[in-house]
Amino acid sequence: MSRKPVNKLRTDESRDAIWALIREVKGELTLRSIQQETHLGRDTVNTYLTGLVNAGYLKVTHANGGFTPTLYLLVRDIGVDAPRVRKDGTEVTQGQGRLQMWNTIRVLRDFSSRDLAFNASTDLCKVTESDAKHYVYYLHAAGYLVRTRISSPTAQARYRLVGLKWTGPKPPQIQRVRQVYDPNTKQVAWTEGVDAGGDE
Amino acid sequence: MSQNVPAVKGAVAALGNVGLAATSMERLINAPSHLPRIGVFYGRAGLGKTSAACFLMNRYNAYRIECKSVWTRKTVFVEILKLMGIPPAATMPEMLDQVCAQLQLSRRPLIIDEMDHVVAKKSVEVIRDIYDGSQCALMLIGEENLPTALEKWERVHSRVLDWTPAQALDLYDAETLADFYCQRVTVEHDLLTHIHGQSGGSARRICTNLELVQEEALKLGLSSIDLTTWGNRPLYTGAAPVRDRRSK
Repeated sequence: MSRKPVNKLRTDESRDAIWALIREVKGELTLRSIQQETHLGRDTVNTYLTGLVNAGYLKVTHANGGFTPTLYLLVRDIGVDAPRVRKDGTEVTQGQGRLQMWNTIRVLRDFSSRDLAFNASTDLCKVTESDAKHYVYYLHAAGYLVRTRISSPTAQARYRLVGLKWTGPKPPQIQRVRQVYDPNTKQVAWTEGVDAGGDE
Repeated sequence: MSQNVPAVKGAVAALGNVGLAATSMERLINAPSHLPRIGVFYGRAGLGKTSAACFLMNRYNAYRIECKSVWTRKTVFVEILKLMGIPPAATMPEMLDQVCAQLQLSRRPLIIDEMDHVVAKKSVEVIRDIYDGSQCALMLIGEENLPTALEKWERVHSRVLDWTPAQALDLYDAETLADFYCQRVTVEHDLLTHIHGQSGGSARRICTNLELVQEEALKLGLSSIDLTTWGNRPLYTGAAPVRDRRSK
């Protein structure tokens, strides 16, 4: 089955919900108990649990045998942010550039795409100017940014974050259907063709 | 510059002050548990302290807040929690617990930018509480008189492991900025030296001037520009407001 677009998922349908539940329970958990609480599919939960075990966040305290299910226990709590792991336990790095841009936008008062790429890059994750341009285009369309200077043949356009539009630590996502989804408010902030999401 | 942080060409990481701040941050993160983990990074406006803070935030996955003059003790907590994506509890002691727990568990460093705004207030005590409760790597960033201002707060001052003054930008930094900001026009070395001299080591002014020069060169249809061509057109020096700076 194909993956649902992020805005079609129910708000509790995510890895964040699994992680929040694991932290809340403070004891042993089974796959089934998580499934019941989060209404997620068996495979979804299982993949994430396996990843967490392989990465050392969870420990299997009782392996599946006979009539007793596998029991999982939280052994490494890293706080509210759900660990981003693949099934083999390695860290997911996708989206790091977007995260760095989203953080950087809040720091820079007035910036061009070039400023953003320059300041958001680190030695571990480089943000290119075209990445920055792409992201800025969508954030501006969705009303997160205002344009403070129109681009001219000799200079790039400049933007500024609308103070109250910093909705939270997670970077807004651009979906393939050309709309911006905000994982902080869990809402679609803008859809192409529908008038700008500037005022909601 | 730090040996641990390899410079990236064409990115903020290549700047000297970013290297200094990163070295200091690594020292805090790797400090043995019996040593304090507070660092102070200070210097006059325009040296790129905030750019450095931005790099630290991205590179070390740190939380960074920027203090405002109107902030109260409660705002400090609320802002940090907002950054963490945690709904704030009702009272300040509860919020302190929330902040400390998240810092302790995630082991992410905390950066307090524009520390000057709160240094004269009780908010300093709040920041000390957060440090004591979490033992997180804590970087305080502010203007050049920050170390003196902190002396008043003995219990914070005595816990500082690392004092790092931000340096004026050198010519190498100016070249890094020119490489990145003037991609369509080559700024010749003599003009770059002139810009660097006129800008008084301020990153902000060097950037402004580089953009000014590039715009001017593009208007003149040039692909490279040197000091002779630039002549005595004014540069932004920050000394006094310059009127009609684009006149020939």
